[in-house]
Amino acid sequence: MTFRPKNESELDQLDDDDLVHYVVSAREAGETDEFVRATGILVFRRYEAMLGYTMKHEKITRIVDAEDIVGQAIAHAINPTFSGGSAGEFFSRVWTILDRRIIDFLRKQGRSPQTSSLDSYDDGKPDPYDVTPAGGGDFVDGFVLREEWGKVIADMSPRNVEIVRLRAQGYSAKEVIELMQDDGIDGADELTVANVNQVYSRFKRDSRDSLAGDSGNA
Amino acid sequence: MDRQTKIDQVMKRFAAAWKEGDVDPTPYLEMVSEHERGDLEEQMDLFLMTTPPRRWDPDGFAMSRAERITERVFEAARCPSGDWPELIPALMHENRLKREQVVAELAGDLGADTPDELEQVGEYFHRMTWGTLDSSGVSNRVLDALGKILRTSGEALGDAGRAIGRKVPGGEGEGLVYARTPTDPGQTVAYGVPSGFDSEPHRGSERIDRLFTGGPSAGAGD
Repeated sequence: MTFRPKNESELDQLDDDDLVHYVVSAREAGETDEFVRATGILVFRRYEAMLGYTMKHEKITRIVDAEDIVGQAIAHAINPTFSGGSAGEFFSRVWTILDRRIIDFLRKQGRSPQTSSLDSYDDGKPDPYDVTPAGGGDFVDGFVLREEWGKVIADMSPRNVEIVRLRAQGYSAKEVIELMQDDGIDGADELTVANVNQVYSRFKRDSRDSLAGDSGNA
Repeated sequence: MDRQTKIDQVMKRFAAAWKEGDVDPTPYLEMVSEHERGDLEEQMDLFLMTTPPRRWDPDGFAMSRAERITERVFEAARCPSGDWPELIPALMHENRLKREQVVAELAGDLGADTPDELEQVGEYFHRMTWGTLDSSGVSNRVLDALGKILRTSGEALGDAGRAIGRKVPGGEGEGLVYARTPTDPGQTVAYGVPSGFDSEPHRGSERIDRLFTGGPSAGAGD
């Protein structure tokens, strides 16, 4: 298929799904300039969340290290083992790789839980560098849970993602409804406190179930 | 105040600061006790993983952390030899050139006049075609000489060397490059890199090393 470059305005109009597809197509076509330009927009849309997520770890104190980790994670996420998919799948992959890069960084610093090297990540295949928590470590345990969150969030509707985001911010179910109605979010008018609580608890339950399923399959 | 209420209050402060562009969560994590930290981190993670994308702003991007991260993405993603593993074999095929001919002509052009230097040029040429030689180190003198042999320009070879390439990093695949075979330019196949080609050549001269690793202007005055 012929690759057709888009101008900046067209790129800006792309939703995350189409932008991810464009980045992969540019990479496949060897269109370096387009690859870099589109990746820049993709990074710009999400980098603050990824930096914050990375800097949350008390042993990552230098912003330059956090930038390195985030850069490597995104590069790994869009390498040729990723041949396309939805933005949800892509960002789920990014969060997973980001976690692995953080663990790898901490391990290299010699101050982390004992883990194996985490240089590889490849969807659908056994990961030779899989993290097996050796006797625990809160971060590694949490990593497994966050990996499940990424998968569950990727399948949720935008309205339900917003509910989870606001509940995570510490708002009560009633406050969540008011905030969503103020922001004019689709479907917010029909929400009840019971709905909000149900969405949040279902999210947690699905993550746990997904985790249990993975453990069962291991 | 119960534990969850306290965590929720800190989360609201963090989220408010976040909206103002303060991405560092560390000060907020220090507001809770050690045993509350895990729960707060969990809520922060959930918030960050669900936060909506930021609207594209070209002015905001320039010189920003996002721009620096993008540069790192590109550096980490690209094959060090760019598209050479695809382009060079294709040009050799197109011009009916064998590897030995190319290496001999290239060595001659570069003034490699001992058997060790000839072997050294051969090893570097191998690394260019296997995708393990950093293109930024290869001098214009080498590119121009090779361009002449392959009936293209040194500039075109330089551009190809800076392309993204098709490296697959990590694990068993480390060092793998994807290249098109000369006989079937449309087909993509994977080649493993034999051990030894990733290491620096052990014999030969420093002058040849400089030509292949010293950057664009290396050897200009020779």
